[in-house]
Amino acid sequence: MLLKRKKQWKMGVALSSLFLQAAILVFPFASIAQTLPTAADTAPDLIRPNDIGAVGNSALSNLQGPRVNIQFDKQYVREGEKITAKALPAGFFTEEKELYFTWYLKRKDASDDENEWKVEAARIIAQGNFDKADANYGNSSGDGDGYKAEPSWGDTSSDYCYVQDFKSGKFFELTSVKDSFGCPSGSEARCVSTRTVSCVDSTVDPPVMEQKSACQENDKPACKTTDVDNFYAAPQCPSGTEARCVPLDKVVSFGSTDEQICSSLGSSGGNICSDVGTALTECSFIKKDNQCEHLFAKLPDGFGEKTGDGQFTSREEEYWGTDPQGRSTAGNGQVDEANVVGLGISEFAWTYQEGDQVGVVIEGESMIPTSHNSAKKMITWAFSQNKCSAIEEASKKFYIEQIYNSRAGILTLNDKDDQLKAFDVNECLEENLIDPGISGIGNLNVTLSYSPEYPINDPVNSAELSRGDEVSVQAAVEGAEDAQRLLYKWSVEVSTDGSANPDTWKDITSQVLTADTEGVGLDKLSFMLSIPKDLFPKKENALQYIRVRVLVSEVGNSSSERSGRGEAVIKISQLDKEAVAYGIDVAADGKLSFGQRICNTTQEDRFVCTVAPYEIIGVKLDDSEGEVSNVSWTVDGNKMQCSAEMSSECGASSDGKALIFPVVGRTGEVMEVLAKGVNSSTGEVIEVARYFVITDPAVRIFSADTNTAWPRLAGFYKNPDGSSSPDYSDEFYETSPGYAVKLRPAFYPSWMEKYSTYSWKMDGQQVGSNNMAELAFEVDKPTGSSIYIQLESSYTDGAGEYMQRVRKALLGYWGISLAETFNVPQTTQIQLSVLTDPKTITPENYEGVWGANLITHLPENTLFLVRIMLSAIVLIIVSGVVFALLPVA
Amino acid sequence: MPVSGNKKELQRWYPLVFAALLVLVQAFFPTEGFFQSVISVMVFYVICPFLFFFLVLKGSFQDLFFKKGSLREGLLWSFISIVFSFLVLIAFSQYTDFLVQYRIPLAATESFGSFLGYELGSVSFFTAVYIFFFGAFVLSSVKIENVWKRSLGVTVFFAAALLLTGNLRWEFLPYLVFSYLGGVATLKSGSLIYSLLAQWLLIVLLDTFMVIIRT
Repeated sequence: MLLKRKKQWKMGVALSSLFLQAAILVFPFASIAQTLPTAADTAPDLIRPNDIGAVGNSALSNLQGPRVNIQFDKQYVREGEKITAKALPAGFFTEEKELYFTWYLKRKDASDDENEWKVEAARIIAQGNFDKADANYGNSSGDGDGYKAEPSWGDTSSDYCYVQDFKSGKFFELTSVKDSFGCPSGSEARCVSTRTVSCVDSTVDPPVMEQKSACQENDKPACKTTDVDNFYAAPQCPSGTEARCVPLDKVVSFGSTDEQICSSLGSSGGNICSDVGTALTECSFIKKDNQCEHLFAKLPDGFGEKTGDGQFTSREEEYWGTDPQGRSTAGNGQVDEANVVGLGISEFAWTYQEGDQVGVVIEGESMIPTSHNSAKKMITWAFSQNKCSAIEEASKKFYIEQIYNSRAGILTLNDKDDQLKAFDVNECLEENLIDPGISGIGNLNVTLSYSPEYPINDPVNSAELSRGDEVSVQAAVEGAEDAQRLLYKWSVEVSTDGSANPDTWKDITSQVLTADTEGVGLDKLSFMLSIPKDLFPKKENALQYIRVRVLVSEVGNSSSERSGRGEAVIKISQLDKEAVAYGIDVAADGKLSFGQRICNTTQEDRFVCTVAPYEIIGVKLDDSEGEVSNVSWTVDGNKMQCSAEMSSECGASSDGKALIFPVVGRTGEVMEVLAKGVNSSTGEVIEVARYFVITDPAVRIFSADTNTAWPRLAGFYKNPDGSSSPDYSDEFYETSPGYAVKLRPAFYPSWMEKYSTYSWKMDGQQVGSNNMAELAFEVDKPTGSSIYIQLESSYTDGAGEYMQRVRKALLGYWGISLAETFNVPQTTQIQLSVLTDPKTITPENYEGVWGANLITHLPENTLFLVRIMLSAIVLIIVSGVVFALLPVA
Repeated sequence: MPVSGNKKELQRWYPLVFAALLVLVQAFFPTEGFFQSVISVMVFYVICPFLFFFLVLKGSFQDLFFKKGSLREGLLWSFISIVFSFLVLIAFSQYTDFLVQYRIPLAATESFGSFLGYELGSVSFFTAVYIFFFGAFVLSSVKIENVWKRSLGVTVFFAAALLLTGNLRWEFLPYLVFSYLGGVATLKSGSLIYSLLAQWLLIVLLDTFMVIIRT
């Protein structure tokens, strides 16, 4: 029994140690092992300092802080010219008018003192056109033009300010910190080294020299951040020493002589540093003071006043050169001190001198909340060139703060030589200076080209059925580092005085452009010219000018983002009159009358109206304002007119604005109908054209609501200008389950509908009554299926009475003898394919989706379950077989 | 053919080898996301041991301590194990970062309802999984008769498994600390239910304590 137990124990120990050895062997690979889940993994964790380091900062470093872009009103500037720099800030939570714009202007002979540059700019801003020489500062008693800037920063202020390292993307707080080594009570952090001294042992006779060791303190270690991401810092000591927490009475002082050391060691045998205290491998920092400061231009030392303190004394007025009698010397509605601090001053205009360089630093609340226990947002700065290498070189530290029920690490930026001082943001100013002479920023050369050269605007119709041209504007950018990283912002403006060079342009982007106007790589803008008349300030003008502008800027990690602006002024003709097409009814007495309006159902129809040979068509000039007179008509260049004998709607009653003409030509030919008249209000001649394409008589089915049933994209055809246009099928349509489809017939010639009987069939079954003008139904078929819609029509003109009238009219009015009869259409059909989701399956990707491999679309988790179950089964089977092969215990 | 004693012993210890294999396979079976991790643990720590135990070893539920057992022993040793584990954890918190590093989902601390849901749902589930695998399957596989040594063997196995899979995390400390006396409770009472409830109660108490001191 005892032997058996012993054997068990041995076996157990052997297996356990084997497993432990395996664990130790495999341990280096543990990092690739899967994490064993615990209950704590079921939801987001409570934050810990290390988590904050890894998660908090990586998240913050992905956030883009405020930026600014500087635009000059001139690309080239000469000495003595007035130039205006406009700051375009982005990413601030604070409204632009509440931001502090600290402009600075470095003249050619200026010193390196940033404050001197700021003062130069602040004086220009605050003075406006005021001449300081006219002022008497002596007897001013204050005119209430002080402004108190917020926040009022102090050591304990809870308004924290930050700078973003443009390279790493991390935000650093401007707070001073002090080292913390966390040494146990009674000991202090020191850099120590073991020193060997020779001491005389005089207790023996004769005295002998003996070697003794002593742990000698050196300096205090410096705490240096070793891992910014995870808030790790380590003590740093001079070479040859090590950091330890040591009781000071156990070490000898730095600078002690051998004799002093021997004396302090006395009869003891000495010590070595590794035996004294504890090794120090980590350290941290403790928050000290909030060191935020506004970057406003400062008054000279000893002045006794501060910029933005709410007091603007006459001495300050004199220093800044403002009017001591006026509250707003610059005349911009803001008090003088507000102008000095740059409140909302987004534009800075000055007279350029050779060598001038300008910059701006903008202070305000960003969109990013602080890590502190408050809802406040980070106050930060944007620099005119969005770069600051001084931040990279500054000392990076951190401190840990209790946030609610956990702790968070907060990175700080400190002076590289004195950590008790926060980083001085003024160090960023010099490298953000811009030379407007060479236009260091905005030096992308952007040119725009557009087509067609003389586009036509249709102010009457909606864009969907517009007769206006589609204008395409293409941007070409020179000087870009990477054309793929260009952000384009498009806008469309209209001339306010109808000229090509107005004083101002009116922005109509939102009214004209429905697609995206902003995007990376969006180098082409296309839009329909269907600008309503009311949007033109000079709407009576037949010719108008629009200006298409694009702002191109480089995006990405580049610290020196450049930008450029391009514009194209486009002259457009106003197509403000339309020649509206109608079907013509022929009465029994041969008189013609205007019937239903035709060619107003699709956009293609608005451009080119489809008609059948020998069809009689009516056209009326749509002139509801009665502006046009003396209208004359030509068809394919041949003069034509419509007399009162022909129709009561022609002749004098229509003032020449109506025309009836026969369609003569071969299938495929295009007829041009042109109306010319005089605009009585402007006296200008206007021309209105309408085009008709001749096709064989036919009946077609079209969708009355293309949102629920749309023609399938058959492909694209190339236009002569190289662009592509979509080609939609006439016979294949697409829809989706549950959609309410509405289909209608279209007859060519249109009058044929009146003399036709037609019926609808859905999948071979007749639906509805005869001559149902619209087939409406809800799609109840599953995806992947098709619905076949047929329209069967028969010509019901009896003995051909109406056809006879048409023949007579053609012969009587235009001398056209029509021998043959119309080829009357019989049946037409469309196929409606039912798709899964029109949002994801579009005509473009339809084929690809159905051709996809089924496995590809199986959910990953299902595959995982299959994989793991198979593994488990194999594991059980193999282990079962092995077990069966083992000898029975 | 005569079979040596060592080879016979090998078959007796084979379940433990299989348990170690399961730990290894689970550790290196590729998963992505919490859902797959949970499934992986379910398969390798619950389903596979069950199948192995019943299909290969032809064992019974009783062999896996699925029985009522001794109520008196169970309650006594459960109480002792909770007190002992709590004291050990307090000692740990004195000298380590345990109180800071131990995680409770933020969502579970927002209201009493969510806390209760967390304890009854997630904590119960994971406690059951790990108690079943280490406190039942591995415990039944360790063929040592001495209760204390047997339980110690399970604790060593558990520690080795965590080390092997790189899971020496603070969240596992309560499980690891409890496993020793929890195993004793199971062996003394003959039932898994007492150590399961005691382990769950320990985690609930610990979580409650954590929430109180953190808020």
